[in-house]
Amino acid sequence: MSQAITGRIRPGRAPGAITSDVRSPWVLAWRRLRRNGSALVGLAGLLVVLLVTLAAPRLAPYDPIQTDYNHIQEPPSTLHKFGTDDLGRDIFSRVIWGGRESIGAAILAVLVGMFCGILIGLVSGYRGGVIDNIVQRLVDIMLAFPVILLMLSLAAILGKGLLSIILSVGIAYMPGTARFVRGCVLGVRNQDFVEAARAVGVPERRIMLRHVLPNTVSSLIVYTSILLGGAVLVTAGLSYLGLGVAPPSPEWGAMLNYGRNFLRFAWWMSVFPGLAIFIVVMCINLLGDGLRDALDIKGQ
Amino acid sequence: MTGIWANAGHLLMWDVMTKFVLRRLLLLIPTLLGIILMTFAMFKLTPGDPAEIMLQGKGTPQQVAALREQLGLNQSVLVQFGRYVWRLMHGDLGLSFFGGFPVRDAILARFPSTLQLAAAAMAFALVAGVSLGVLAATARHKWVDNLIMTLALGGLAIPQYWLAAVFIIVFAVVLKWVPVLGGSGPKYLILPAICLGLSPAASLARLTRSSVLDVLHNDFTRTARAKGLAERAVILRHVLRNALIPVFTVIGLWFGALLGGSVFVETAFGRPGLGTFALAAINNRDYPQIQGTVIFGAVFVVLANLVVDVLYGFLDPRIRQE
Repeated sequence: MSQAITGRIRPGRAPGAITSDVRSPWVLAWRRLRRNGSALVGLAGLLVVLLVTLAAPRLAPYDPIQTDYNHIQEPPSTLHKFGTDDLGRDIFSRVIWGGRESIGAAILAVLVGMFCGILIGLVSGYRGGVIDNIVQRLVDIMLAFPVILLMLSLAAILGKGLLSIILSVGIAYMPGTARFVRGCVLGVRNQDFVEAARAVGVPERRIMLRHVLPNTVSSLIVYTSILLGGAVLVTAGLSYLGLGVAPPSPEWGAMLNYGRNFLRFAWWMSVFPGLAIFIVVMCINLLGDGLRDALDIKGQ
Repeated sequence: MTGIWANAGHLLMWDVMTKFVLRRLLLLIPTLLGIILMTFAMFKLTPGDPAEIMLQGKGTPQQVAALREQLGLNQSVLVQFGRYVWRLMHGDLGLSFFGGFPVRDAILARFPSTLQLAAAAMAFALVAGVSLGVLAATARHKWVDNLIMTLALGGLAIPQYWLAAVFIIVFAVVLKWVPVLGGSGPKYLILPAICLGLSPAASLARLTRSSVLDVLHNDFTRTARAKGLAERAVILRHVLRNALIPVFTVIGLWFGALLGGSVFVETAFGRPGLGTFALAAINNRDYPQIQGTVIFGAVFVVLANLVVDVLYGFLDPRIRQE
């Protein structure tokens, strides 16, 4: 019985459908996105960045941590496209390699925040009552903290390192996500199909995961894109403050931190890693704006 | 007769307003307690014994035990929390682990510089954001609008710490208008304030644009145009006044972001302030210093939001009625 209820209906593919014009909302969203020039630029840019980052071992002309004392602080040239730093390391190779840690850390941080936030928001919104009340008061308090200060104190507690940054950013994103998911769940909770599932006795957990959650996915996608742009900025930012990876490792924020001492003599040490951050965040934002329009989500 | 009624109206409004403010103040108490509890819990769960950290691992077991007794660490957690709240109520944020100075005094000494920076950033964000947003809305879908919106999206994507580096390279190293690091006075506030205010400005520009576009299609706007007002007067007197209400609400939310962002901007420009103070505390693992800064920051943001809420209540009668 419950199998029949939960079986997903695919519009347009149902046998005996009169017209084939009924498309899934995802197909329609993709069509809208395809017509949005700036969103496509963002998507393409992001794909290029990800490909370059993944292909770093093949694309990088030099070893990112190999020092070369014959080429110290050289400005950009054909040999070293982005110049070299004070130890003769090739900035171009370091920027390409650095994407792995910078983008990877941001993605992991968002995953941590989204996972916990979805779990909390889903239960809080669906159950309601006392649980909801307690959770929402806790969320209120966490949201009262300035985000960066919260991240900094978490990073202080967890110690230095990329993992600590990922966790602090993830935890700091948790309350906002929980609040957002709860809002989405409240909009879905009392709709007829949820009521129907409840009426035929589908277990609560199954209703939450199979009926409520899938119907908030489009909002969550847009929300994730907003978080991800911020996460790239802030994870690199915490590294910039010296809380992230240990020095030889090429991470964009750490490179900027290192380059700070050489602004007077070697502008390229700071300009290129920051430009990489900017391009990635810009692409994410362009895509996020496009997704919001395509999925027809009201701005938060 | 009308005079009396007008007076009564004033009294009524005063009454409503007082109730509104009082209710907000009462709601503040659980929030503040929650903030204190969470900060306290966060640092209680931290691995490591404060007494040992203070002695930097060099103390004898007797010394550690004595310090634990002195710090009240042997009492139950509940008593410790009670004493903590009691001290906070008297404005005591404790002593720095390593400096030994009162954390409150250190914070108060650095706060004016950060506040100045945040205020300047906010002023920049408001002026730039609102005017560009209005400009974009009135030129909807023309190249001006597209340009402004692209710039705004870019402004949201620029890392503050990187913009600071670029500013230093351009204005200090190449043009030599300002020294590379440090310097005090209004002249040296401009670049940090722009860095800090850029993303709020970009965000405000987007918000103002959509808000103005909403209001532009209202009946009263059509009426204002129909009675022959100049477009300028329509925008400034009728549209802007209504469009800025939602803009005003988000200003409160920006205080926290500005306070947090000051860590990056102060570090980048070498400005001593609350941000650099917090960072130094974290690098030293000076827990009272971190705790104090976090509580101070959170309380400041909560109070700033309260002020914005109350002002908002004054401006928009619909809010008071809730």
